[in-house]
Amino acid sequence: MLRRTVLTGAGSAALLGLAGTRGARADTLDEVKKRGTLVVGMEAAYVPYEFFKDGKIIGYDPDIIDLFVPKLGVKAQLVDTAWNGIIPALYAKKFDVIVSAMTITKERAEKVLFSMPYADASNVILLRAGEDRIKTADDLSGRIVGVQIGSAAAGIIKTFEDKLKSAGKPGYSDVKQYEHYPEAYQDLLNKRIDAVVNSKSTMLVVMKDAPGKFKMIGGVSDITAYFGMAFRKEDVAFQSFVNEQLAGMKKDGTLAKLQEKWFGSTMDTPDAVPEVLP
Amino acid sequence: MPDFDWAVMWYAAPYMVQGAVVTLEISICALALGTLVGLICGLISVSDLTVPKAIVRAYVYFVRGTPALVQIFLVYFALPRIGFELSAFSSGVVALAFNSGGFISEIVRAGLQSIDAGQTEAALSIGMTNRQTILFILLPQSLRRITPPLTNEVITLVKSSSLLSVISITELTRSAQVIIAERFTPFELYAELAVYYLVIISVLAWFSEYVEKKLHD
Repeated sequence: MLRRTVLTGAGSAALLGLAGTRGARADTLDEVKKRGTLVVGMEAAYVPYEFFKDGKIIGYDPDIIDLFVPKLGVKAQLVDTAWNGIIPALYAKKFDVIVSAMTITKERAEKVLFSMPYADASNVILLRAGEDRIKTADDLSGRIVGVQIGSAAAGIIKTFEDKLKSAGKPGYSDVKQYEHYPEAYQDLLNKRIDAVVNSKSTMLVVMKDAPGKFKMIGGVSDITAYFGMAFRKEDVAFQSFVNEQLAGMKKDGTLAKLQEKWFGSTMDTPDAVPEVLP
Repeated sequence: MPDFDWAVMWYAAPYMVQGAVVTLEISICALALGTLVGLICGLISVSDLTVPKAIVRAYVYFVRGTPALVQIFLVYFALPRIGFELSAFSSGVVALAFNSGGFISEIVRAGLQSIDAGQTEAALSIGMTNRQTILFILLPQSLRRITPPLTNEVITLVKSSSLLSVISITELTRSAQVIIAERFTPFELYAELAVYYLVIISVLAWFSEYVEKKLHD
């Protein structure tokens, strides 16, 4: 029910947004100020970054947004949207920015403008606690692996499979692509799949929420991945504003405090988008 | 995003053919199972078996009263909780068969009841039992009337199979979505997807017309 109201809100916001873009090609930042709201696109099914609790979207990402929107003199409106197609939706002006634990990848960086990294997105493998056939990442060969459709993990496991194959091992027996990650965890418990690949910070929370059910191993990627906020290519001014804000939060320790709050530990992130991307 | 990207449509074509094969596999399995269930339930609804009749009515009531998507989620997520561990593919087949079985049962019932009462009277008067009348007199005659609504149901079933994309089955719709997620080209790929479905469904419609004609001769 509450989700529905959020969605209708999103619809009207999108309409407003469209109406706003009719005239001259205004800069998104000016537009946001004029409108009085910053519309943020996210898929709110990704603990602890953004998820529904008591009908409200909360998490690390909403907390960061709450810290910088007052500086624009506007309010934030969080729009829950499907992960699959979130980038086309950004360009269709359904929202002004994507803040949705989006891993900075080579492919995405061609399509959108990324902010500086604001969280570690390294991927790990989640297994059932009783799993004894998979000891290292290489044992994924011949197993069924689950990821979210369009996620960075979906690309990472593809690269890893190529590595397995070039080492003379068979690839996965199947890859299941889910709408949301929670369904993949469920299927892992139901033994429909053997492993789920996702970012470490999320997996830690999954393990905490379901004690004794899962275990975690690494080794699926050598490249450290980071999360960034995604802007439309032309929104350079908007991006540099957000980068300033993020740099400030990193410097004064606010970012670390939020990481402590949501992940239970702090993360090392670089000050700019790294050269080597997953 | 700028112009229409034809290259991505070519890129997607082989993946989508694989997806189309899965869609066909699931649809055929679900159709076979659903027709069997529907036929049995339809025959029960015109019989004089009180208890099975009530069960069939409850089943049809449920199928008609709930969205196919909800039925799919129930089969996929609820059955494992009570000890049935089905693979995604089997869950998809079971869910679609469950859904179409209910509708086919109604189609069969309507078909049987549409045959002139004189046929039943004649059959009974030459000493056939109720069961024999239904199986050997009413059912063969109703086949021709059943074919058009059954075709509709088959088409609905093929289209409903796109809902299985949400339970991690890489059928036709999912195969397109995977590439959309990778290449960020929803317009091109959903357009291509529509063409794939049109082709599949045109073939089905053509086949059904052919069957109908055969039954006329």
